[in-house]
Amino acid sequence: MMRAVAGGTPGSDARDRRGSEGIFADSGRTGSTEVAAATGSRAGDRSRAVGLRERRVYLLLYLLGLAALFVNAPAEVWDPAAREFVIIVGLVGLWRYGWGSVHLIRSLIYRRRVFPRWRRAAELLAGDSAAGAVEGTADRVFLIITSFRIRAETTAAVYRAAVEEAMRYGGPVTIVASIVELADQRFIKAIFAKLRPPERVRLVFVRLGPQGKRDALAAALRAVARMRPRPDDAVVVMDGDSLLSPGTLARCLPFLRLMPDLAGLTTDEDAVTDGGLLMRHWHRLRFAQRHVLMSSLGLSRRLLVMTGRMSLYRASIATDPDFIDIVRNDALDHWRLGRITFLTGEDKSTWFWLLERGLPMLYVPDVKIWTIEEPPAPGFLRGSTQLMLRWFGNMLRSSGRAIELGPRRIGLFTWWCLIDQRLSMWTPLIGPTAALLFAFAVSPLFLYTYALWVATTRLVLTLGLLTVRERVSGLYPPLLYYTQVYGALVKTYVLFRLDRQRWTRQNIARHAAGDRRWHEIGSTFVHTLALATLVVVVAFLTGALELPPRLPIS
Amino acid sequence: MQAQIAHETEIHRQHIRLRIPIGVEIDSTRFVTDDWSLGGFGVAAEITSRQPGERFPARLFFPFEDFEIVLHVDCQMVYVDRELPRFGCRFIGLSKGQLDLFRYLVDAYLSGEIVSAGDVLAIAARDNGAELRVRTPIADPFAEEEGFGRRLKRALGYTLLLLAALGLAGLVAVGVRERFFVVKTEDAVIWVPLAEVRAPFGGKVEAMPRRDIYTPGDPVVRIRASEARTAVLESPCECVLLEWPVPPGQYARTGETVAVMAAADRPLLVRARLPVDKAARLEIGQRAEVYVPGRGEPVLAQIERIDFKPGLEALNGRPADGGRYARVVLRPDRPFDFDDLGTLVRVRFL
Repeated sequence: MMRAVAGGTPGSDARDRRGSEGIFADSGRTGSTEVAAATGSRAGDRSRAVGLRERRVYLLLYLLGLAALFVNAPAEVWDPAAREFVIIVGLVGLWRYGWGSVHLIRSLIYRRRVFPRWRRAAELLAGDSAAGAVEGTADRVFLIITSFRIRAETTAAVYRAAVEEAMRYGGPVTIVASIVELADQRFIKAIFAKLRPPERVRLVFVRLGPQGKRDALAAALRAVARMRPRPDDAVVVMDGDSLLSPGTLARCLPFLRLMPDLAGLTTDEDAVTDGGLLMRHWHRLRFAQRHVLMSSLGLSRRLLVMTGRMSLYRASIATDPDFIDIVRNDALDHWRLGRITFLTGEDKSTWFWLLERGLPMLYVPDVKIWTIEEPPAPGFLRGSTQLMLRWFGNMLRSSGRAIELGPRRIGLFTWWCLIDQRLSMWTPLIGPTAALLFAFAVSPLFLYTYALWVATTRLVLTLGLLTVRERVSGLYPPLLYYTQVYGALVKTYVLFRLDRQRWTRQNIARHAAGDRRWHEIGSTFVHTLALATLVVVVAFLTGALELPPRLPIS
Repeated sequence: MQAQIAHETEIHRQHIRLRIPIGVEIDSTRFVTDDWSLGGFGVAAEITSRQPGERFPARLFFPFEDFEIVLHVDCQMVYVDRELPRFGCRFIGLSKGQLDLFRYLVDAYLSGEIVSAGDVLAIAARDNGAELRVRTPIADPFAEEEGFGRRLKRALGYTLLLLAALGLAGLVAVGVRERFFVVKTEDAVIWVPLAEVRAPFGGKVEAMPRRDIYTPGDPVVRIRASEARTAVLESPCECVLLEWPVPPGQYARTGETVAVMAAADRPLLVRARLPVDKAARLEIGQRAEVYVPGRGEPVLAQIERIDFKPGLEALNGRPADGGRYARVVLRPDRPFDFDDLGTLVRVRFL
């Protein structure tokens, strides 16, 4: 490697300096500090201690608040006059929390009983493959990282982690950087050169215009295909803001050998969030919930997503032309919205491709990827709304066709989970609607009763997360409620506007063309009708509205 | 007035000029460029072998730390200034690959990028001029090319949804009317005027022979204070005996009700109790449905009387039973069986 004769521009130098120094050293910044915390530096230890104190204080405050609610509850709260309230909220709760308990129990079985056996077998294989590495027969790994408009600090941390992981792994690794900007190319090359990896670690660039992640990833996959990987080589697909933890490759790759039918795997994730307090806790909460759900699904060897943050595929799968094609060109035929070409959610496309072919997937719960989350908009509400719009949109655009595959093809449990995803966008709305209607029709005290119910149940749910995380925060219960109820509203909004897509980082948006106004009116009409139906049904159940003993039409 | 400062490119330059020294070889003589751009180069030296307008091949040398890149280009002499001395050439017929390579090298020079020979080869081999792939057009539900089937499907869907919306609106209207505008009560009973037979003096209660229907004057009960003092109490109406508040054989005090009798010659009515504000919305003659437990079909009835007068207790300042309630008496269209007397019912006023 040679440096060109002429000197660099002041801008590029500054960028280089900022990037390379800011990877782990700057303990003053939230993002860097948390990355440091995740990777175990001294700054990280300090940060962890502060975070722990913070979480304890919030939990204590929450418990005190809950105790105050209980102690000061009016006597009538314990004897609600309306039996229907207890039945409605209780039945919905029983169903939701019963289903949640099923996931928790399955997750425990998977993480404590089933997966450890697989891990032991994989470790035995890993010993063999280490010997193979010496002989030059170890699996080749292609590490695809897609980056666009990601901050230099993040890019530096991500590529540094990737190159270091490639250096730790014994076999040949090709890092495929799918990027847009020349500045990123120079920056990544500088990081690569600085780390001085051995010859077996290669860096390949795929540069495209800013046409979205699907194009970028498809181009990278085609580049991998042109390198003629062996069928059982591994292709890791990851986002430009995901940090590989040390040992990720060594701990994941043996499963491809252990399970010859395995198509792909994904791992646990946690977030380092460069946002406010709520945003940080919200991300961590969601990843903890994800860990429970994915572990539960892992028991069936069918997942609900091959997450774009980091998933690993067998090369024969990742380089399949159909696979690459669905990454680039995926669409949905909707009776009302017409043909919707997917802009985002390539991880849902790849997942569907595997699911459709009945290919097994694996969740590796003891490997964790860190993602550096940068809120797409200032403020918790705006930022979280934008993220939810994207996540839920991806989910809903893909889940319908997956449900159509039927329980025989994808397994009853996975199929029911997909159905539940659809139902769970309505059930969280029943409780607050019923409470408001009871407050209106019977007594405002029902709001107090409901608040007690919410505060208690969300605390129990939060404590359940202690099975997957060492600590929980006192902000988790209100954030759980926010995610459930506000998230359900966002889901219903997206459900009727599947044509609305936007990449948060790229500001690429795609709407259906044509007469947008009619399109919008149609979506608003159907959405309003659905919400009104829910409210009316709950109103009749609660007695806020009454049906005559005999309907006039009868 | 002429501007004092103007960018040269605004006047005649097509590309920025770079004062980065590269080598150029013309007719086996090697020069160092004074400046160069993607359009051509200038050399501060004298040349005699070529004249302006003449075309000739040249080689450009880009020096890197450990290697040198040589580019074969066709040039045309633009000017030769023997006084300075200086001459300038422009590139002609540059291929897209050469242009890409040029651009890359310029960028690399400007930024001080690390450049490997592989990078240069990759750039040289790369075709940046590829046509954009044709993508499937995004959703357009109103596009002309949409098939008839899809349009029909959408129209049917919207029609069904519209019908559902209308149904829902109707249901809401019915629900609101039922909840807020229809008067209902569950505090109602099947009733008939009652007669009470009271003991004129204290004594033992003795039942007289039981009859299904007592005509006025029929003996109902005897009160025996002693052997010498007895009283036979007679039926005050054509009645049936409903209840013995003091069972036969027991002692009744003076004035105590010993038998309750119900008029048998009058139809059973429904007596309902309603808050005054609700009762005020009712009118005599208004129709109502009476729901008898265990019977599916309601019995239609008509309001016969509305009694807004409270009991004597309320008039005396003592709270009457139930506070501000009115009594509504309804006459059923179809008479109830006498066995229904006393049955609690639900009334819904139409």
